[in-house]
Amino acid sequence: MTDTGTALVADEQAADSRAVARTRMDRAINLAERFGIFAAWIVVIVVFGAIEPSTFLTLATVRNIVGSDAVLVILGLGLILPLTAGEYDLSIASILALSSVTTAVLNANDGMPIIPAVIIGIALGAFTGLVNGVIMVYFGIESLIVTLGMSTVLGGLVLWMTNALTISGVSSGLVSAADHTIAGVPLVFVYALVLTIMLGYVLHYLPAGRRVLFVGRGREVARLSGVRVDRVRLGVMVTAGLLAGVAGVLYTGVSGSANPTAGATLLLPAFASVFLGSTTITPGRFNAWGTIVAVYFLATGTTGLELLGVSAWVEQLFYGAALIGAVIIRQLVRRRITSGPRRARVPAQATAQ
Amino acid sequence: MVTPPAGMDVRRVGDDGSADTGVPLVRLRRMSKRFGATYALRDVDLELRGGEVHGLVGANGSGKSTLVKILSGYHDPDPGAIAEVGGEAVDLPLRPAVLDAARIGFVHQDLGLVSELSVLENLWLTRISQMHVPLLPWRDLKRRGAEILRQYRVGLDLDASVTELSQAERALLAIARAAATVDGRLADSADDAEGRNAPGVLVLDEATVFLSAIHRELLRRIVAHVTAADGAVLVITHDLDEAVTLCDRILVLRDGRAAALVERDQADRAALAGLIVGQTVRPASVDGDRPADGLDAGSGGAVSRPVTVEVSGMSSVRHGVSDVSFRASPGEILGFAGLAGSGFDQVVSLMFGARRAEGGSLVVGDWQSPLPDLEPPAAIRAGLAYIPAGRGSEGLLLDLSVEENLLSQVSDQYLRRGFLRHRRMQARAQQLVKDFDIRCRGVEVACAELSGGNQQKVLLAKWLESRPIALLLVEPTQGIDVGARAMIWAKLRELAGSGMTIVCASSDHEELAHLATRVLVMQSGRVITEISGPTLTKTAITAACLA
Repeated sequence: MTDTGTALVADEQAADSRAVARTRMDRAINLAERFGIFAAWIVVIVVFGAIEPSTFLTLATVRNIVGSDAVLVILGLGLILPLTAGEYDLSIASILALSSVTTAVLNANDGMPIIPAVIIGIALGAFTGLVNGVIMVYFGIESLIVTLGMSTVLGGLVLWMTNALTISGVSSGLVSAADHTIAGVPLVFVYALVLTIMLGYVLHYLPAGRRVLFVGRGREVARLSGVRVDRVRLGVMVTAGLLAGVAGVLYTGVSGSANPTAGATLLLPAFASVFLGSTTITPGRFNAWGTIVAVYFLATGTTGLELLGVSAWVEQLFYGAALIGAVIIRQLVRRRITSGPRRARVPAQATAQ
Repeated sequence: MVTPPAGMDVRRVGDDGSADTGVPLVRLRRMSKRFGATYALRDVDLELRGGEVHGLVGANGSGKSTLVKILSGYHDPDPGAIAEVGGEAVDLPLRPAVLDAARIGFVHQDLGLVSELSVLENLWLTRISQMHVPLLPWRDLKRRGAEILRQYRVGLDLDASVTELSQAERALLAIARAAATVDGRLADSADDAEGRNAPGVLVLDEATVFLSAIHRELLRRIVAHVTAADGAVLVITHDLDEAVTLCDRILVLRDGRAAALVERDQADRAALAGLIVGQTVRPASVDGDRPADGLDAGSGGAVSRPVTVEVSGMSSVRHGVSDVSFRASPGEILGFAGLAGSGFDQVVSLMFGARRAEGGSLVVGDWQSPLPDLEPPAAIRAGLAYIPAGRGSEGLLLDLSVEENLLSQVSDQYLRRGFLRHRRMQARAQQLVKDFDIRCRGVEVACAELSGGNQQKVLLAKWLESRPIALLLVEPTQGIDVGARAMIWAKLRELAGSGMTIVCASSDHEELAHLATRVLVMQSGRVITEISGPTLTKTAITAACLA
């Protein structure tokens, strides 16, 4: 063999070993990305546990976290489909408030039996989602603007329905359907878990879930591949409204009353959880399991802070920072996914058409 | 009737010979540009003298746009190149400040307009980005903008959004903007402009494609106006008549090299066409190069249902296609060729419903649809597959994995008892990666990571998975390496051999000569020539496009 031949072989071997090293490195990074949140979670638990062992490390705290944030899980799940399809639903928390208040008003004030009241509450959520979707698709308006407007409209509607007062006296049937515990686990958490499994199944195991993803990652490509893009966009908004409706009804059940301002405080935590969730389990994609984990990770943090006696404003700080941090991590993950070794880095040229 | 724009002197300065002396306004020497292993441009000189109209012609891929991009400072030429502006050596790549000082104004092929902005904003686009003032002097800009449009006789509303303009009006806006740059009317203030009297250079890159005869006349006046002020005009065009009537000298590029520099008195259409295609181009379809019909169906397997695809009366004002009818038979590769703007590529996208035609109908076997109602899902159900020119923007989801892209058309088939069979899908994707020789680190990596050629293979494989009976392609091998190109060509022939009907629009005439059984050449939205049989060569296609 000639010298150059040997050199070539040596080069190839070096390249091979580099490739192996890179693969190993990739795998490590991949694992860290997917499950890093659990490590962070453990750290949070250990820290608060060490500071506040008597109050933080109790079953009551765990039960409190699990129960009170199950509604947030469902709301977050509602955001996953629109976000995957590249749409924003800023009205989702207001839909929750609408459904919550509607069920409470119909049942407590108007004396309607609880089951039809619940059905109407949920249906109203889905209908609002449909209205969002129709406006988006038929008038060609950005979801961000449509749902921003819708959110304020619903906010006003809810204040009108309740005279800005909390509605109490909701049927105990709904309360126990939400808050009853089985082996210490509140039912509302079971619902959240079931919905997580269902959404995870849709996204991962159904062709429909893939189509939603295609629309989100390239609307024109999806259209030319035969996906009925408008139908998908309409569908995700209806699903978001439906899940928000379910969350709203359960919210009424958990608290036994309907608070007209509930919507305002849940919107940001829901977005923070979904975006944080998209950096874990299947990094770079909005996913159901990531969302439920993120909700409880964030809830652990806020509960710990509350127990420390920190003022309520810290919670806002915490969720806001979590959202921004999650979005940054998500961006980094996506950049890593889409910038392979062979991709030439072309300088951005002036986009002029 | 168009009258000469106010204040424009249509006298040709070149006529008295005075402009030929003196220093050239711009001189580019030994320009080479290599992309990978191929030279897009090799050792080309370009000299623009005051008072002259200089033409630049050549077939697609001859290096015209590379040369223009060097002139606009977008490309940095390979080492060894020398540039002089106004007799002084300047650094390469050419910097915006140098271009500004020399008053070089461009009308690019894509016009360089921002469609969401108004006419006024587009007019001042570059200038605004360079202004360092706390408040933009809108009133002043508007007054001067109106003056510019009046000066060049461009009747546009300054407040109109560019989206509302027709293609021709957009071109006129871009031309007015470039002319104003050359005249110094876009300089910081009007006084300043009169002070500096350096002649400028107007570069027109396929600026007339969308213009009507009247508008072309207007453009001629603007050209005359620039040369009258001792400026130079560089005209890049496919229209040889235009080149002959307009230009004093014409540089012909072929395969990246300067084939000839033709003086005005020696220039005629036939001579130019001969220089563009070259005398020595061999017919691409030599014996043995092309598999015999019906053979070579081996690995692909026969198409389930051979069909004839027929289009009749296809029309779309919006996409520049009028009354196009044709028929493609099973086993045939029907090619479409034409210059940019001729509609040759639109025909194929209209056939799939990718864009909407305003009239006509499509027949695929015993299925038919009026074209205005055609949507991609229906076209897919009818057995069509569409491979668009934009791999990233229309064909593939670049940040999704190779597997997801490969199986995007067929995921329904992997649903068993309510669950997608992920392991099977992965295995199938791996098989496809092997069959189509797609080079990637694994089927789970993002498509963005792949080279252009491999992305194109993914795109082809993705659509073939849906078992189409007819395949529609636009620029199937644009911008990809030789190996991938050969592989895709072989695949297409194999598919045709197995009875598939293939319609392919390409501006690569070598490709059409190599692949197609028949080529329809388009001009101004109509089919003007059909080439087939032994006369089907690269040269013949290019010549027909330029006819």
